Amino acid sequence: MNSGIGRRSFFKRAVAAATFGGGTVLSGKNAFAMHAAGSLLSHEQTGVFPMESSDYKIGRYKNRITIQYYGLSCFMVTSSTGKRIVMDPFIADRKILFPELAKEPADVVTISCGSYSHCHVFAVGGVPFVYQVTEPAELHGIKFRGVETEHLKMTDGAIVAAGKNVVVCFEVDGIKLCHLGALGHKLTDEQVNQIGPVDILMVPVGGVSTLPIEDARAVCKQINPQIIMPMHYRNERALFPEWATVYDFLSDRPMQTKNSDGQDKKYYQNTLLCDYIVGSNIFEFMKKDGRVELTCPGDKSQIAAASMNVLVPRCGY
Amino acid sequence: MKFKWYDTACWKFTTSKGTRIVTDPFFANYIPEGPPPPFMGGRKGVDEETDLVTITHPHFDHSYVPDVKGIFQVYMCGGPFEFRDVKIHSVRTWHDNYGDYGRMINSVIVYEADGMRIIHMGDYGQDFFYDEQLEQIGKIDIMFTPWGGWTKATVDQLKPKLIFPMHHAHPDDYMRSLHYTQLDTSEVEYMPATLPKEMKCFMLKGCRAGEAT
Repeated sequence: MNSGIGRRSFFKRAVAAATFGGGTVLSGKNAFAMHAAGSLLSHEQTGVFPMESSDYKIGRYKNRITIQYYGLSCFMVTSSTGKRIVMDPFIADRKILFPELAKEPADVVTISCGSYSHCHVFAVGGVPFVYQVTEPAELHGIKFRGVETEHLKMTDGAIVAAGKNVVVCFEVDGIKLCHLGALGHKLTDEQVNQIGPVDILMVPVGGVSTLPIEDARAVCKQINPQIIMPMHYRNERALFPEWATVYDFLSDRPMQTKNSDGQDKKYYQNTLLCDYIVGSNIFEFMKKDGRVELTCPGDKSQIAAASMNVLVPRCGY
Repeated sequence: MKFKWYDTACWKFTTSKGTRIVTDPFFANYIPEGPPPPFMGGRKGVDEETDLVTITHPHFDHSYVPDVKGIFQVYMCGGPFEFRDVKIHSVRTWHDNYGDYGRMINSVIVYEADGMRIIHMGDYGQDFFYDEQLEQIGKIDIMFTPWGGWTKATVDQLKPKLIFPMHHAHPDDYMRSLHYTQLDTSEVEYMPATLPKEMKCFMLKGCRAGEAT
């Protein structure tokens, strides 16, 4: 095999052997095409896309961004030029079992509130800027805006929440992102105006320490983004028994019983739902004709509606 | 260069060119409404603007940035870093000797600014510096250190001109043997020319110090 093949050389070799009986030199691209079409399960069947390649993390294509979910409220956005923005890094403890960011170098860290599960910058690497204010600022060529909102008052003395929460809005490669942080209430019209149009919205849905689930749905309607990414909910790695799960948030969405090929398959309409085990936690988007398009992975038709699509990434990595 | 003490290991360095560095901002446990928790004495955080925050290790009393105002960068002990007129590098040490759950890592941070070399020890907890660490640290003029049984050994190794105890430091026999001075101010200013010829130790008054820290 040629020496250019890196980490996944064993996998590629196995694919080569299965398809061509071995000995064929493959480029990464061909290996992927065969993986999708060939002898193994395709990513459409498994929901798993071979995005471990670092190419995807640095934005291989022009105008494409990736969004990776790390659990709780933490996302990492990578622009097409390789700028990385980490939102709300958390600290792992006995209730939050997601692996922290392993000192992934970032250029900007945004913090919504002073709760330790939203502001643990030490998990991030590099020498990032911290954006946690309401004054607009341009950092690494990306314009950030903060909208001042309120956090829920926590009566639990152990967790101290500042009353202030900052909704962070920014635009990367033409895609407008908005992270609601630990928002605790419905938005006023003025706040909605300040936030403006949004393509991808990260919204807390767990309730209890953030806004209740009905209010979360109302806020989604107020902002009317194209894609909603729920966060801050209970699952196998966020052990808060009183929080809601993401299925509670999805429960008002109509169910569909047949997929686009006419096969029996139950799923929520306009929802790309990744499971705890199966699915991807890193997605690639690009702006095309004024719309955000999911370039990979997954079935694009599932979130092709004009607005209010839901994309639930796999939790953790 | 000015040095201002807030509390615990949190200092603000202001160089002659105006670069502001906040070290190890602490979690003040400050609640806007209602009484403050008694064990923290109702401190406020570092509600001032800065250009750079440095963090030695991820404990809550050394790494809480949300109280700091403005937009700033954070240096969290990676490789050497040049920030405006300040050169910074970190040296990995142990946080403690006898942890029940294994040893924690703490990095001491060395700043080079205004012709002085400054070390911030964070929550350093070794008995003494290893030779490799001493090589990486180099010559030191000013030392900000927590106080404990190990302090004498490290001071003897680094031989700084100025020592500022911090992080719940209380005068003990060793501090008295250094003829420490308790100052009534939280901010001091030093330049290479004004550094003392012989080793001196100053206890400052933390401007955010609570009653019960």
